[in-house]
Amino acid sequence: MKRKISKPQYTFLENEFNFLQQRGIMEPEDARDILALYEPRGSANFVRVLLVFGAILIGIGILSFIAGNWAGLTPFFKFGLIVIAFILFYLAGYKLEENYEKTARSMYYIGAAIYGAGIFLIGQSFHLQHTVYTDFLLWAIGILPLAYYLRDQLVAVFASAFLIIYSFSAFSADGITPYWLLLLIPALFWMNEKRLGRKGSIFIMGVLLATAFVVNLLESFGVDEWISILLVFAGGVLLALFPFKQYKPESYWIGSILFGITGIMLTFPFSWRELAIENTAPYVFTALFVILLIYFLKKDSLPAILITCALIYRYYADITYDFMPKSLFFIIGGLLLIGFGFWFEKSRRETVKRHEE
Amino acid sequence: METIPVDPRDILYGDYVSLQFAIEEFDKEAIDPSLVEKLASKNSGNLTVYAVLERQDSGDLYGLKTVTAKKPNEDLYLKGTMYYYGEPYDGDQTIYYADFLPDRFYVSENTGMELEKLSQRGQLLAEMKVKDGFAVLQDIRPK
Repeated sequence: MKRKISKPQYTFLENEFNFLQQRGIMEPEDARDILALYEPRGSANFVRVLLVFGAILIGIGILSFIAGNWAGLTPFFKFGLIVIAFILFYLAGYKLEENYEKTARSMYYIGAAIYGAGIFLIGQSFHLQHTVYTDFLLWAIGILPLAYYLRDQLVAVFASAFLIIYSFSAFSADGITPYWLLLLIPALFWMNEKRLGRKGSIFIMGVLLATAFVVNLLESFGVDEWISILLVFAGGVLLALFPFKQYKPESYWIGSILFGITGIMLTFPFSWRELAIENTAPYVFTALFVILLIYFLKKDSLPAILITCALIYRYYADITYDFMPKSLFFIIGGLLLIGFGFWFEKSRRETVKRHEE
Repeated sequence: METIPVDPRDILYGDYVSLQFAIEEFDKEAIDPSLVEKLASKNSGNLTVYAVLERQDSGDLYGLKTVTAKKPNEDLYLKGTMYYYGEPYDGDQTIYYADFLPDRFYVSENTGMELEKLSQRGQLLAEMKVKDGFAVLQDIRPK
């Protein structure tokens, strides 16, 4: 197994070995043998980035062509164009798959965008109302099989993002509960395990989607806001305390982000306005929150440092903005931020050092 | 200060003309008595209601006959939602609102302004296809 290093590092090694050979310190065979132990990582990344960006731009172009609702073509004709283009791009992707794998992906991506454009075209042509959530649900359902077939991380990430949009249908005018997610969230996790090779990004999207689903479900049941926020907070803490084995850093970070954001929300009295003990609840909660943060800080948690900084800053701004001169407010605020930055950098360095030892 | 008319736009569907239909605003007389009771009994939430339509004297134009909570037997009706109002505080003067019809007509980019102005002055007529309480907007035109 060759050791993978970045391209600049590889070039650096190559140059240094040349230099050592010129000095007569190193034999050319040695240089070749040693260099053969290394492999530059992702040398074709640039090509992939170009192709993905190209596909995304074309996708946006097609979507905005539909939004432009150009009167020169009848909706029926436009629909025909969409169907034909959709088939052609998928076919092109299929044909190119063997020899031009990355270009083939681009073709598939454009096909997936055209599919979405078709959904929006139908909604627009029939002047359908409040269907944006359903549109995104259909778009996600339509591209999930593509993600499965191609084992493609990007398509799966987009599909989960669309499902997150769909989950907010609970807040729409019609207040529809997003029950389809009961089926689709497990499907997404299953696909990540079995087909996509346990990608951290999909795991994070899955956790976010599940969170959005729970929050929206509670909303459509008319549950008080503080209960939903508290549940997400508890879920985040659990995820950070007991991370999944295969997704340790991901669980840790996403759990911390979830409980950090909801925790800070819960320190504000307005989060508790539906509760009778609105006046004391935020303070009790903040006390518990601080104890929890100290526990995480003792475990050298980097996200906990960020959350602590945010919490201190939130109280600093809250207390001082009203009665301190503006200039002092900004200067002390800036000093605090720089102090936090220093703390963060220092702890990160120490963690890295400890890992190296 | 002067204001200018806006041209509303949906990021995915494009420009549209916002519409508000006369049959979506009505007073107590238009509502079925049993529905009035139902509306007064609760304070929040949505209620499914039906608008029964009738042809008005000028021919092609349809107007509101009555709003009920029970699915009507007539052919021509619209299904919609209404909010519970609770007891109207200013007596019979209360105007009731319901949502029966699509309120966006999608148009070509940068062409909605004229129609939008007409819409604001209540000078637009909308052509609909209605089946089983569901309406699809076909076209809009000046009165």
